[in-house]
Amino acid sequence: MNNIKIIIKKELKSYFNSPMAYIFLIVFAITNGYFFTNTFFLVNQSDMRILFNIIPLVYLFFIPAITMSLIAREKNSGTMEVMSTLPIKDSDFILGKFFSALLLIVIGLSITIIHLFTLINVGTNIDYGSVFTGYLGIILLGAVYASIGTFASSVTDNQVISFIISVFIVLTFFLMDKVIYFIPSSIQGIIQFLSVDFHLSNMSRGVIDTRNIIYFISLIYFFLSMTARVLEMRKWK
Amino acid sequence: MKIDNKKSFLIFTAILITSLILINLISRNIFHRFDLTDTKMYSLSESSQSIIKKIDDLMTIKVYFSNDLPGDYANNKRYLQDILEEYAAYSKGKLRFEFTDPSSSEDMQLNAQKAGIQPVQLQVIENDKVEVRSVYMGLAILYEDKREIIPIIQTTAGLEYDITIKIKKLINVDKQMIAIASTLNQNVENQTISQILSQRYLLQNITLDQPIDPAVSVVLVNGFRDSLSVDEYSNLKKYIDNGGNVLIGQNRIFVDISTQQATPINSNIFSLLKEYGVDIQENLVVDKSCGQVNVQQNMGIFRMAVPMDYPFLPIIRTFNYNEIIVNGIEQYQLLFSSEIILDTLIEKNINLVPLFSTSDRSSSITEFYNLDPDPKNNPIFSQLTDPGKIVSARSEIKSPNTGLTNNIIVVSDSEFISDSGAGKSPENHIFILNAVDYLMGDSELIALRSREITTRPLKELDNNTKSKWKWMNMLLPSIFIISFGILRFRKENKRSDYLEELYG
Repeated sequence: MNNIKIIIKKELKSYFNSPMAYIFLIVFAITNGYFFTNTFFLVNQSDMRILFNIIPLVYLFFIPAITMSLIAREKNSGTMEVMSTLPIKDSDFILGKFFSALLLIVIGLSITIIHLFTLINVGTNIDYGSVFTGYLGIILLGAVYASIGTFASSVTDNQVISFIISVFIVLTFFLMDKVIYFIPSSIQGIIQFLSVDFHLSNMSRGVIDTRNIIYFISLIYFFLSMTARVLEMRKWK
Repeated sequence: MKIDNKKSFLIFTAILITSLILINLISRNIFHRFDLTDTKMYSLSESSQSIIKKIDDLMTIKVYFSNDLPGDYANNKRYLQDILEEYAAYSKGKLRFEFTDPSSSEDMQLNAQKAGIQPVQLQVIENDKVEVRSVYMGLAILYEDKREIIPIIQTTAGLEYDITIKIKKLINVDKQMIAIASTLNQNVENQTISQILSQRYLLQNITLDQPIDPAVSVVLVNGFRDSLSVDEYSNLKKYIDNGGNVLIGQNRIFVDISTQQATPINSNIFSLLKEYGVDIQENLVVDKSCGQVNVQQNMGIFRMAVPMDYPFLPIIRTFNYNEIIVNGIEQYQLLFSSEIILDTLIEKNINLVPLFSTSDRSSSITEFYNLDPDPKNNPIFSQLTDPGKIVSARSEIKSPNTGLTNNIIVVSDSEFISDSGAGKSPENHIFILNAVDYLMGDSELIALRSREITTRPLKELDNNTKSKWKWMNMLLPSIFIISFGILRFRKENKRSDYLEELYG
């Protein structure tokens, strides 16, 4: 646990010591702010669903961008070999990297509190239950995408390739329920169940379904396990 | 498991995927949903859930809804999508739905019209101009080779009820039969209410001279003007005593409005109802809260029709809200009603409950019935000071042998289901449907009928204020991030300066 904390701290420091984190966060905030305010007064509804619909789209590039360097950079600079000599388990290393990315996502989301503040000031009859579940949903979605990003970063030492792999996987999960009408009806149900949007929609309107939580946790577990196996490959004889 | 080659890696991946699929499959069947919305808007009722669970083949809901609809209609679309997702969630994959906007192509418009969804004309404001647009706001539910449609969804009120009823009809679960009964001498038109009821239930028209089929769950009875024959009386009584449910409209005075004559009705139906604790008085109720009639009056040299309050047509607004039958009903229109007295000394196995009464500015007329609408000619209209009078009640009869209960609901208005009377008023239909659902044991469905989304509009803001909020939302987060970055770089610079000083 201590190792995980150390890795998180180190990663966050390295994020904020370079302009990268600031650029990503500013782009994240401006994109959300622009699209939120553009439709918020038009729709004229006192809820945050507009924001919860925009964030998954912004995530598609934001999360691969912040996770592309997680492990690929270590591999590229050769620090992975140094890491092997340290008393740090692979699982601690992966979880540390994953949680540091997740924490950056949560920091990005905390900036959207300004939109909640706006809602409280100009809205009526606000349903805080759905605001809470909406945030929970996009945090879980962020965690899924971060685990995909961590995995993509582990399979290559090139950050650009890692970014492309990550965007590809994330986009696949995102688009699944958008193409549902073009696929045979016999597999529509399976494809719909695999799509992240299908599971997120419940939460953005105020409903927590155990099936959605299990789905998100399954995906996170799967990609983090695969990351661990990929890292183990370097020890194969 | 030791993974040190490609083969063991592939085996591990296969095991991992299989176990995660298994966990998700189990979770699909054993799940729980927590509705954290303040009004529990997305919690499907037990009735809806139990009906969805009975779907055993693929059910498809095709929603034909235009995009870019103004305010409330757009909200209706969103709520419809939300509620359909709830239906899908409980269907274990048996119910699917899809949204299409028929306005986008002629083929789609043709498909919508084939499915029975016609476009409706809607006034919208576009580019500061009021324009009339042709829009689609309906859905078709397809199941096996059957189809049910909701042609127009203009409000969210009762939407879950409508969808559940349509699904129930398609899957043909516990399809119950109801009947409108009359005597051989009666000639009452009930087309409006028959049409509404037959959309939901199997409806029969029966005459009371034949025994009533015990499979009939509810019998609706038009008001009688004469006594029932021995057979008719005995058939109706036997049906009730065997656990049948009856909804009856019956007043004590027959009014012929064209001749302004009111005559008491002598019928054995009153003694039958009295046996169940409902005593309809020989009077006419008058109420300050009432409908209007047009009366010809001399206005100078002209003779004109002037609308006047007519207290013989009470508009009911006092409901017993402890009773689910009248839950959510705002008003009910009656024609020439009589007061109901509930017999409190009735046998213990009968429970009497008032459903609605006239306002606290009421009165009643007995013996001499002056029906003149002009208050100058009808002094009783200025003496409406009595408390509310019960005009509808429910008698719950518990069988001492089986312990089962059945109900008689009485409304003291003989025309309450007929086309010429209160049966033509849409508000009255809600009460009739509620009463039928209640008598059938579907009382939970009644609550769905009045269920709708809570409106949550933003406060009224001028354009300047909106603009300020927009800019604040777009720029403030970036300003905050930049300020944080600058502070952090300064701190780091100070730290490196300090270290440089320290170590040279």
